[in-house]
Amino acid sequence: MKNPAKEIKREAFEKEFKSKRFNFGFSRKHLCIPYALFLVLFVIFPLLLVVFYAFTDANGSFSVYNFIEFFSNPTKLSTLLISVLVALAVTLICLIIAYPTAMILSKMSKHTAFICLMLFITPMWINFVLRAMAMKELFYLIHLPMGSFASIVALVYDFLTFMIMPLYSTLIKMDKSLEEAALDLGANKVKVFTSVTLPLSMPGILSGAMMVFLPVMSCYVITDAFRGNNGFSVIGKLIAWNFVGENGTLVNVNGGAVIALVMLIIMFVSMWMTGGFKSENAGRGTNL
Amino acid sequence: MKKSLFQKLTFVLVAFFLLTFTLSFFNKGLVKAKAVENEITVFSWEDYIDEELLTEFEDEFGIKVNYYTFATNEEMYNELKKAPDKVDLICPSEYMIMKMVDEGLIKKYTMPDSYANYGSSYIKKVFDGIKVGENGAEKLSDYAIGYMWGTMGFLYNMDNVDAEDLKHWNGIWNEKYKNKTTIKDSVRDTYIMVLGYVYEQELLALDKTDKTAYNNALTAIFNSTDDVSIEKVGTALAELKDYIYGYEVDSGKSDLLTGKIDINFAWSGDAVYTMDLGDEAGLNIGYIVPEEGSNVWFDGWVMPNGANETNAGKFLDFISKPENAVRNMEYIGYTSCVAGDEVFDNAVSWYSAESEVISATEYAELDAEEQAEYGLYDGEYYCAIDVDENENNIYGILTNDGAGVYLKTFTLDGGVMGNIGSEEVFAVDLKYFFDETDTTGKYVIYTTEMGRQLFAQYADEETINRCAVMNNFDDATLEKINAMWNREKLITLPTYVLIIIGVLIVLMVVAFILYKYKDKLFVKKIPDADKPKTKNGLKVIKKEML
Repeated sequence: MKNPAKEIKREAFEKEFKSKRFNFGFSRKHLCIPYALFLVLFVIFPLLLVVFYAFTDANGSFSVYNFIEFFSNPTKLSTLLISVLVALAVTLICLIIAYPTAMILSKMSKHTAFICLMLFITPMWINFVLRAMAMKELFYLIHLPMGSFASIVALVYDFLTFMIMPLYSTLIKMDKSLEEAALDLGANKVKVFTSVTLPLSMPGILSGAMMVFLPVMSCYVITDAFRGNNGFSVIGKLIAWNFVGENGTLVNVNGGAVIALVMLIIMFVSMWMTGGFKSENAGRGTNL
Repeated sequence: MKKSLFQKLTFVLVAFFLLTFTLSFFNKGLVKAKAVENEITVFSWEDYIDEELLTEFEDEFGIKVNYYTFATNEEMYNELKKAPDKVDLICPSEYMIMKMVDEGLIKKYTMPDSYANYGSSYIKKVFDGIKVGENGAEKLSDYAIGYMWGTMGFLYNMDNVDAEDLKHWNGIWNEKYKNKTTIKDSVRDTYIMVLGYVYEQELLALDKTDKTAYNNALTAIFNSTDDVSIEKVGTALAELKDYIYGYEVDSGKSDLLTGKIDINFAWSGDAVYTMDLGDEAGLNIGYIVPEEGSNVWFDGWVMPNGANETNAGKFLDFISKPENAVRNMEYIGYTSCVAGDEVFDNAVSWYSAESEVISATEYAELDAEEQAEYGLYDGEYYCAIDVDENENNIYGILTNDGAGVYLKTFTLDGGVMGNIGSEEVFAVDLKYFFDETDTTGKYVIYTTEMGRQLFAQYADEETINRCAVMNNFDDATLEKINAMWNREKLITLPTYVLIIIGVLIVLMVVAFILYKYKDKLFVKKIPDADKPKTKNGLKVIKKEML
């Protein structure tokens, strides 16, 4: 119901505003220039650098030697596969713990939920290396030996909040009347959960999974602290090892870039498989 | 559509332009010749200098110091390669210096005066002995002066560990200390340790009569990098895995202090620091270098080719002065390569069994709490070395009654000696480090406890003579050692497991693709009879329904 008089006024104003006298050739789309520059400098350019290093050798000439080396080295491949499996396990455990937690939180009164959420978020304000060290002391007190199990427990502890938050924000926004309608129409509670709640919270599950799965694969600080004498290391350790080295290692930036590229591909594949690129999910707003 | 394609193209072009632009920078080096004359750029380890010294140097010479840090030699090397002209002074470890000389990255320079005068003769001898360059025609001492040095050994809790066990490297391949040892998460340091275990018999069988020949033979064994040695080290590491608590590079100190572990394979500087903290916490922590021998390492100052030699020389001259070396040692806890009487006096004041004696004027400057530590005797103030059961201060003076030096202990009551006793002392002769030519015996420190801070800071000559400098290994050797290290440290799955998991992952992705694009892939294969004939079929049905 537009007011014709107002509409004419507005058009006149816009015409005047859009004339060169007022905007100096500036239009709204120019506002994205800083963002585009940022994108090119800090996203596209580093990615291209990784690709460039991955396909060259130490002298800067084209080479696929590092790819062959990586895919024919059983130790490095094992580390990659172990990282994927560990990341899957950690994601699953986080999901199993986080989903009920998020459901309970979403059913609480706003005030209680806020307090409970703060209990989850506050530890995140402490540096995660410090948290890991504290966790180590705790494990020592309860005589939990360092090793693969301790690493997984520590990883779950560190990433749990990243799973709870997206799930909580999806569940809290969900229209409760849909569940009520399903109940009215005769579905039992299990049926309501499997055919209403779970499908509707899928975006939350996916974005939570993305926030846990990929960082776990590179989170070598935790595995270094908790691996003990026989635990596993994640692939991030190999990348760091190739780039920074330790006393007496052969620093191989190109080899490191190959592993980074392989991880990038895994990331893209998993994003694509979970539908991360679909435009209908773009505005789901479930990230932290 | 056309426009978006154009936009994409521009985007890609801009990106590639930026890429080439920056890469060209990498090739030429980030910063060309320094524009400012009175500035130097120092690239060194974190927390490796008393930062007040930097300010004092700036004030004294009017030269601004840009101090940058690195965490590993390898990181430094990469940074330097990216910007070779950017830095004036670097402080890498000895093997990295050798590598840099071989690659022509650093230049010769004249030894600064203070180092020429006060640098330890022992360090100079070692640097002279390290041959670098083509066919080993040049000496390391032409390219570098020493900064800090030390040994590697076991840091252990003396209450829980039998020191006899740790006299040999095999002490940690021992069920007794299972889950109580940490080793270095650093291939180079752990490699030399395991070599000491692998070649135990050969090392112990060496003839020790000629010091130089012994050290040369030992150094050769500690630099074994043939395939057989690497293989043996790998096997020994695999065995060791079951006995250790874990790998670390920084947490070992706190783990030892909190009692999680009893033995930590450590650098001597860390050892001093940990023993100091242990003393405060009431723990007995000792440091030992096994009989087979160990590693001795040096960090030295080098100048890259583009360095400003005058300014950098001034800086080196400044920090090599004994008084500044003492301050650095106090701040860092490692041992300086600079000798000189100030450094020796400082070591005496730290480690001698005897009471430190100060004059009345010095005493007057202390605060009340510090004054309580001192007692007046014969016009001078003595610092307490201990307290007895009645909380009385105990003082000590070294006494020689002809039969040998011992520590005379006493309490002081109004300037009069009471409760006189005696204690055995050990003499540690440090003339090899401070002045080889000395015959007066003035570089002897008497201490009541062996294998403690003094030993970590300045090991006796015999111990030092069984420590080997580890050479720089070429890339092919490094690759082999690195592969061995990775194999032993990381988990390697059997090949068939790798293949099965690989096939499963590929199958999963293929199944997903088939599922996702099933409409596009299979729709044409369905017989025509059951389906609407054309694209308009849907519309036809709709019309019929209406």
